[in-house]
Amino acid sequence: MLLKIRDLNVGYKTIFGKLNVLSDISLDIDRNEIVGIVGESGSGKSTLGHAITRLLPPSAIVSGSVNIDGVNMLSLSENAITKYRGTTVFMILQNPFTSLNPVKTVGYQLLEAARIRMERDGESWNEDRGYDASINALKDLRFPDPEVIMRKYPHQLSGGQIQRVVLAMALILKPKVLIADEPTSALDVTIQAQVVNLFKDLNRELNTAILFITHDISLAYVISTRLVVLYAGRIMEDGEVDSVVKEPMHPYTQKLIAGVPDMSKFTTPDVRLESIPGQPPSFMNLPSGCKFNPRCPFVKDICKSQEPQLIKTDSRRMVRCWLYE
Amino acid sequence: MSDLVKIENIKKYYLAYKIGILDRLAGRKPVYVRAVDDVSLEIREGEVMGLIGESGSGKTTLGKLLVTLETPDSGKFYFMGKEVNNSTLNFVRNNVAMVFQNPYSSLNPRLSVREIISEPLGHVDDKKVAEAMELVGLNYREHARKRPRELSGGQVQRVAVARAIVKNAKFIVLDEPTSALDASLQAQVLNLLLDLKSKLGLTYLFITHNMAVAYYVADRVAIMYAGKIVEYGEKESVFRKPAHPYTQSLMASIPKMSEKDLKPPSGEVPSLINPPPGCRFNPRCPFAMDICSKKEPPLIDYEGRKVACWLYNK
Amino acid sequence: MIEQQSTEKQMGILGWIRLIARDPAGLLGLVIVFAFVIWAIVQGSLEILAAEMHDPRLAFLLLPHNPLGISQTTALLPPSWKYIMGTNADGQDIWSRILYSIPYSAAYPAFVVVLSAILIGSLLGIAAGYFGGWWDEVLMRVTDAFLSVPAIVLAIVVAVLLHASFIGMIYAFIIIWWPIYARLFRAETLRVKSMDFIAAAQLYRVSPLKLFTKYLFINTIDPIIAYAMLDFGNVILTASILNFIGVGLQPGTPILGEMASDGVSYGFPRYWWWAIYPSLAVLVIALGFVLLGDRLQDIIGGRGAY
Repeated sequence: MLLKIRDLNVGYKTIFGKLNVLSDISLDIDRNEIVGIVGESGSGKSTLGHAITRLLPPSAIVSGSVNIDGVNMLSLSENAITKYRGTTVFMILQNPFTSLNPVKTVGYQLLEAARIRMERDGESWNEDRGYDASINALKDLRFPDPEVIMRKYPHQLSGGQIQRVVLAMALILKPKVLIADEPTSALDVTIQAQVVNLFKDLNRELNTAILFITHDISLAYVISTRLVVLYAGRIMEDGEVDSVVKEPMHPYTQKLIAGVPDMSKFTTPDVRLESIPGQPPSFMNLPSGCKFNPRCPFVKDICKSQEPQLIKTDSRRMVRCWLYE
Repeated sequence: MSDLVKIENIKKYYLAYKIGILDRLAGRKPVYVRAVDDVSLEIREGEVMGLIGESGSGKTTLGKLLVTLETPDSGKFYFMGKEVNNSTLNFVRNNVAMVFQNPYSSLNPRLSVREIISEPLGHVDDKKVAEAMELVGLNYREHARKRPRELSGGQVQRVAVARAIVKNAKFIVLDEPTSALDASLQAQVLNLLLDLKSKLGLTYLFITHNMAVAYYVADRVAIMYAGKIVEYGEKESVFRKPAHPYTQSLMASIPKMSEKDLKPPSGEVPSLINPPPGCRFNPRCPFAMDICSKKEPPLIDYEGRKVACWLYNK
Repeated sequence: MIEQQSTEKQMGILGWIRLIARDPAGLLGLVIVFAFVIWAIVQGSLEILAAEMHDPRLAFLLLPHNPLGISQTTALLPPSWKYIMGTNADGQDIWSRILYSIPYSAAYPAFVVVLSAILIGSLLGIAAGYFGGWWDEVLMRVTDAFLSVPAIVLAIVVAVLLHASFIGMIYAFIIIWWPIYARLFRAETLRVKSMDFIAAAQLYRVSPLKLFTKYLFINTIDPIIAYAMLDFGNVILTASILNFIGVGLQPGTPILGEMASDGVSYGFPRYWWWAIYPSLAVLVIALGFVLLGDRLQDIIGGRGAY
């Protein structure tokens, strides 16, 4: 098993005291899996990606373990973890316009990635091979004129192009785990579709494990093999994407799917979207017991006092809900 | 059903770069961004017209033109049968409203909710504010004196909607009103907007890049590309049997929970400064013919909708 | 994406004080400024009262000694328990004179200059930012001219040109002080102008006066307040420097810079306390504002939480 996250808990020190954000996150992800992590804002999904890469702000308090091929990322020193960033775990972020160094050309930055890869492989730096690797990566990302792109600066590229350059970097670095934190949210629909297809190609070529974090469950369906639903910093459901979407077990997942506008639902013109009453809780004021209980249509007494555990059902699904315990 | 809003050959260009004195002396010609380039459309009373487009399509500019926040450079604009010009401007502004995308930045952070909702009235009228708040599902006593930052995203957007209806505006332009909201809130706000429309007899121009949302709320839809309308008509026709190749590729690009494969078009969204000659979609069109790069196709009737494409115009 | 629930609690004054106090330098600044302001208000009120009632002794109520009375017997005494900072050649207690001079020679110029600069700067800067075009160009060039010359040089030139008394010096300051505020307001206005609530206000035809005050001014002033805090210290420092070199004096009223100047000319280094203590007073006051303003800018700029 490539990526093993166990009992990951993340909190923040703030002027209002300690805020607990992620709780009890345990996940096993194998190479070649694309896991879609679906959550609304305030679910802690971005914190998860940043925790794995150790890019949280200094006010963060982290416990638990994140093992990639046996090495616990969280126990490494600051010095040691820099050797793992890029080649073991790579992250692509939401805002393309702040992802690249604005004062260096695309070529410079791709060569830098190539050099890092060669160093870590123990090879001596060869500029020609680095250049070839960069050009090939750009070609794989469907750039028709890679030599031209190499000479461009980030501000001369569009958002979609920048994301593809970042993916080209991933192709060069060949990470074991790729974390994508809302990489297409800032892109147009047609460009998003292009980038999604490129993700799938990358996954096939590199055998990387991909964590695709998004708020868009339709997008998660299209790209993932497995779906993990996050709510209030906890995993509520985890299972194969087709079965989760066709037969969601957790009430939150059910309501989420029933409330999202998706063309597959609109088989007749007068379908009505369901809304979930209330709003997701703030981390400063989490309800006791199950965090979804104030909004849950099936709430029972035990839900309000005790938080359910994430348990495995027989159909290879994990759910955190008293309905199933 | 009469036309509430009618525009003919509307153009709106913006200067791409500021031209200073020295530039003018050097003979530098102004370069324009052709945000809206010869658009004609009519919106019927009581309907929801969905305006669909990606970034750089000109949809936001068109929305601002229809609400008189911008004036067109050329073309005609009719509102409730009257031509819109300097003398009728006040009348139009009394009857239109706008709901913006980012709820927090569309409300003055230093004003209270009741002051914000009263903006169209010119003075605070608590009675009307309370009525509007009730219509959008906000408790007057609880929220009227709060500031926007004390409210949640969904509540803030409801305040924006309350502001739009407080003066009984007949026509509301909504510019991506749910794009910045969480998934579980979208349905709430969309349903609210639909209920208000039937209750108050409103007409909407609903601008969005999300086709599924457009299908849910609209009666008719218009697809915009590079400053032009490429297809428009009843939503069932346009969605179920899209005629224009761009509409088809849009439909194939949106993620649905029933289909694992996405088939996007190739290439990038075109520049509005230097659009491709002829039909603007031709560089990316899988069905491009010779004439497509030479002449721009006009909007013609086809199977119950209007489409601008040489495939249907022999 | 918009978070469902706003995580911002109302901070209030106590919240701000706590945040400022997290940084020891900020806390020191806060204490100094607080003491300064309280003293300026109290002593200043007494001085105004004394002038109204034609009874100068009212103004001396809180002072250890009479700051204006001349005496040969107490002249040039070194610092002691009785005269904490010693006396000058006229036998006047320096500490009392410092305390007496603060409202008029430090607080008054600082507040008048900065507040006037904010007023003028906001009118011109917001108009330039909002309307753009020619007005903007003109304003930018004018402020460029002002800002390219160091404040002190400008201040001296203008003050001398106006044959400045103390009040004249203050007018001179106002003239050269507003450009930076105009630029700050303009920059903030450009940022705020693109926000949808301004478009909404235009659509709903909010009156120009309301637009200026309740929509533009009030939403652009935040970073300026932090800067103004720093600036109070700047005005006091610059005014004292001018006074030190002999510009902008007022016969009969003790002025900090002048006290230091006299001390240097007539009493240094033998009677060092005459020069040092008034200078220290200016330093401490200006420092207080700088530390506080700096900390405020940190907080507003987002570095305040740790």
